[in-house]
Amino acid sequence: MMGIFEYLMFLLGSLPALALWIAVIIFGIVMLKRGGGRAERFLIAGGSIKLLGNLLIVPSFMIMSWLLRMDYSVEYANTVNTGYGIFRNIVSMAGIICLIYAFWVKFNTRNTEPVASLPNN
Amino acid sequence: MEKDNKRGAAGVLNLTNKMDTSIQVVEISLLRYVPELVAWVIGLVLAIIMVRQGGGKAEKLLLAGCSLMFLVGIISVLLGSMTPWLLEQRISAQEFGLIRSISIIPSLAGFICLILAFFVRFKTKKQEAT
Repeated sequence: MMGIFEYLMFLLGSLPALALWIAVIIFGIVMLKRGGGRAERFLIAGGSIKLLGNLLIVPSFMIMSWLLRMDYSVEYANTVNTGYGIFRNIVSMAGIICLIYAFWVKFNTRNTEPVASLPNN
Repeated sequence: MEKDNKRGAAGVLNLTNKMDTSIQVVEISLLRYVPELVAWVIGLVLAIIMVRQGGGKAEKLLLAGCSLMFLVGIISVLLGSMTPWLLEQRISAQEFGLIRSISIIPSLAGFICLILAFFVRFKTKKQEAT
């Protein structure tokens, strides 16, 4: 059974990832306000979904310990936790795909507008 | 004597059943890593395409980041499948935590590569626009 110390340690362990995704969202918002487009929107969406995915880790441990406290078997608790883990990872996967797509859009925009910054002769 | 033997055989059978159950539980719990691994494979494929199409520093950083994150996923799967064996070795919780934290270094490196890739790509675009 997880104690309060383990919870705190776990929260501390996931803090860098949370801070990182918050930084990505802020960076995306700043870029969007400075005239960003579709890529920046996908960057914000990806960062937000990844942040949500990271926040969803904490309840997974609570669910496990709650089920064990309610006298459910370890196998049942593990199955429920695995189902929740799959859901959380699907959310995370959606975030990663949004971020990769944002990068892809930015890469293609760069390739299709190479002459925009060149002076006319 | 015969009774003791029967009891022993039943104990072994019970233990084997318990081990089978724990292996099944681990196999099911490994499924949770599949979606993220799929996402990193998609990222890896797109990064390779971008690098081959003449991508610069940003695309190479993205490729490195995706590779490292994929590696982290593989390490997580391996550690997950090793969990019953590690528990059988009767190691302490601290040692178990230490072994599980192996993936922190590649994970951090992957994060840094990805952030740098996005920063370089989005900043480059801004400079080009101005």
